[in-house]
Amino acid sequence: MTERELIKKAQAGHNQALNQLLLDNYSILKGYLVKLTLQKELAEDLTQETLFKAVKKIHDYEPKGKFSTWLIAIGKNLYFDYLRKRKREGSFDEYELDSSKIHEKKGPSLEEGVMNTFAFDTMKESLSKLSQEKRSVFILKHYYGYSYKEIAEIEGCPIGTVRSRLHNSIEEIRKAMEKEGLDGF
Amino acid sequence: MDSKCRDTQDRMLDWFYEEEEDRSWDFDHVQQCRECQAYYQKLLKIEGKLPREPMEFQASDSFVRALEDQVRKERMRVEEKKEKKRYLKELGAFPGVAFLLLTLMGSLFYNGIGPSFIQVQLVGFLIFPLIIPILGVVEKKQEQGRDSYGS
Repeated sequence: MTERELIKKAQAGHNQALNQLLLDNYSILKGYLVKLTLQKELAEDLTQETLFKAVKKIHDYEPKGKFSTWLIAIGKNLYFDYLRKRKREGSFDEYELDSSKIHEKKGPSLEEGVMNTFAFDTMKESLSKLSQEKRSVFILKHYYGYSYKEIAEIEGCPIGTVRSRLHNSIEEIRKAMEKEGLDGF
Repeated sequence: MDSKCRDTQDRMLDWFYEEEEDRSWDFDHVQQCRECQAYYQKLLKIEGKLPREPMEFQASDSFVRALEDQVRKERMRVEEKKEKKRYLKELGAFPGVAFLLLTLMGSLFYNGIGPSFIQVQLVGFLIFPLIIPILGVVEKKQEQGRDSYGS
């Protein structure tokens, strides 16, 4: 069944179609949020919150592009809301777990298998130098290959801004790598 | 950075990230421009350091169950909302219709045709039960007619 068909069914009240649609996009959403937040547990909670919000808003969704762009836009907005809230509260501590949320307490999952500590640390080191807006654009283009148009939709900015944010991200990552003397820049 | 370099680097970026299929930048310029050459090297090195493959994540069983539960709850909430709306509509319709009928009656009486209207109604109420058996007979005959036509 195509994504469009699943969306149609989900909007018509088909529970299984909605579940499938959300789970099909789980990996891409969580991957994006892990890279954006650079905190695995926060990303997990945001993924959950995003999907729950999508369940509530599925009737408002207008299928124009990929379904994942809609989910990513929700996830990104939730994260930015979270950052604003923390800024207002003046809290800069590490993310604290919300016990009401579902967390796997068992051993390493497939996630840890693929994304080993070294890879995560390297990525964190490079991406943490970027501002949230630039990081988001860089992740969407570099890792997920979204088009400028799709990124502009997610970010709610013009295509020119997307391109310039990407340029600046590359420049900043390069500078950071040069500073660390990691690869002969 | 001059405008030529800016344009070249934009085009390099577009091609590198598959926004454009063809390499449309000015090759002569790149051969002479160290800045643009370095920019291309930057792109390659960043890709080397940050491989582009997206990571794979799988939802845990507990997460899948929680999601299914949430979907079910949301559907129930939507259904309840619909039901409540329908109930309120019906609730609102009753006084509406009653008000309309009372207004109609009031206006009939006001215009002096109220008593005759009531008379017509009374006659209707008395005659209607008498008509029902006749209606039954007519219906039966119609059915019989249809059967004989069919055979």
